[in-house]
Amino acid sequence: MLALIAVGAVAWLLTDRLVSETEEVATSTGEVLIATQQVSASFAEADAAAVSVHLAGADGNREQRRLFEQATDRATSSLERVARLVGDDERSHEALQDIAAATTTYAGLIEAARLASIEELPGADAMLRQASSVNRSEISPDVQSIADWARARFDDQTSSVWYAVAIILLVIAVGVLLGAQFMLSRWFRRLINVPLVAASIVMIVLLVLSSRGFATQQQAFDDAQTQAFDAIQISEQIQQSAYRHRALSTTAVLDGSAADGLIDLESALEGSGLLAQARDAASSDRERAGADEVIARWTRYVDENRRSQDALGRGDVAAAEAITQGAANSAFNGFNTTVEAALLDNREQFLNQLQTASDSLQWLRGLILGGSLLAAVFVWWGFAQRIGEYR
Amino acid sequence: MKRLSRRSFLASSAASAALLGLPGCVGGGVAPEAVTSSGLVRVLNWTEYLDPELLPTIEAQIGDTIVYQELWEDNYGGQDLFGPQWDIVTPTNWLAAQYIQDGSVQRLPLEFIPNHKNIDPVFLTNGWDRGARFHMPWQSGITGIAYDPNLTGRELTSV
Repeated sequence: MLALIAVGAVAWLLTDRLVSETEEVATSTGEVLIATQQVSASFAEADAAAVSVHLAGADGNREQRRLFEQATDRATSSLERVARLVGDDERSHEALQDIAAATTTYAGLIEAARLASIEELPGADAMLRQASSVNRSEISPDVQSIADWARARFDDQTSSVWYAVAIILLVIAVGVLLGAQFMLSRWFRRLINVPLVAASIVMIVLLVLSSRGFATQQQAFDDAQTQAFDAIQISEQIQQSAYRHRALSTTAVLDGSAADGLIDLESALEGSGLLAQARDAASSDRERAGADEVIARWTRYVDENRRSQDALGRGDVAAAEAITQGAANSAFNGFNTTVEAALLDNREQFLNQLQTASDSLQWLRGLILGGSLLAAVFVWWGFAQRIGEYR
Repeated sequence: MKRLSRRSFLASSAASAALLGLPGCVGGGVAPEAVTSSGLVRVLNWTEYLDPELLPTIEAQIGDTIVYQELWEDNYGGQDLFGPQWDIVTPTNWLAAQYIQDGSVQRLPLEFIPNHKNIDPVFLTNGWDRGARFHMPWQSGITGIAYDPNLTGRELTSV
């Protein structure tokens, strides 16, 4: 009986740990993974808008200024969400502090560049380039690090094998009970001891329900991974390549000379590259339609950007600036927002599946503890009955 | 707005510019992936924003019956007053934002709206519906003006 209580207690502890980890995946790790990508997207949009405002010259560009402010607000809001969700992960908090400092520097440089541009002071181009550099070399790597750590936690938490140990313990408990029943019937010629049979049934039911709960949890994790998270990761890679493309292009316009490296980035995205992979990873017609829109908008952006680069090649810097702050910028925003929307679609799916994983185990803790105690009571009753008969 | 818009309506509306742009408050709650047709599309619009004589043409194109009423007015209380039975309604953007935020509308079935990719990016960057997944812009910024050159006797190039 004591062994049965011990088995129940250990199985309960293991399940409790598993439930806690699953809840953390659903409410923290998964959200952090999404929020870090929204930070990257928002800074890219802010960068694109800041360049447009700058290239518009002294007159500025109120619409792009509005977009810049909204994008930095969204980035800040996403960072605050990451800070709330990341828990006690010290590395992530240190990285967040660095990002906060870099964001202040970034916003300051953008504002200084804008004022210098309005006042037609020298150095505005350099400040804008420096701001983009802060974004690329300080903010983005830190955001990426937080995402990588969250990913490692996600892998760790979703591959926990505690459920297997709990199942093995329950199987052992069922085996011991059946063995006891067999021994009783053999040694004492008692065909059946009703309380022991009841205890066995309780443990078998526990075993079946636990197995089903764990199987549902694992299936939900697998679905979250294959139906949503893979697509999220591809979206992230698309964003990173697209932002590099955009940064190279705008820097080239500021420098007045055609950019290098654009073709390589376009190759990484087009053909059978990342955009096609995103379409292949889509799990429904709706997601495929979203992926098709991303491809269409990327093609538009590349076409507009090519016009700008061609103008630079001809030495027509004014035309290149006009296209970059106008049509190319608009097309890039369309592309970037569409990727972000696809990401949000996957986010909902991802978080729903993680919640399913968490829900599938909620009832299991109480069931294992209560079931084991009930089985123990039956065992005590069974042996008490046998001892009474012996006397 | 609890019911989904109709497959054929949305597919055909891609070719029907007049209705394609309606702010698509389509259905309620989080989007299920399947869209089924009951043969009926219920549209609630502002007064005199659409020529009702176009409706038979659109019905013929989409193969569904359109229940069309011109009762919409943001200040009447929108869906609270008119109920959830409409497939497409046309609130002004501030009210559309509110509907989206409180979860009253469903995600657009992009698979039936091939023209979604042609929405001007300026309408994709709204903070309340990034990427225009829950609404589509219509009559934004300026009221559309149509004319029949046979009646005016000349092309109108300015107003």
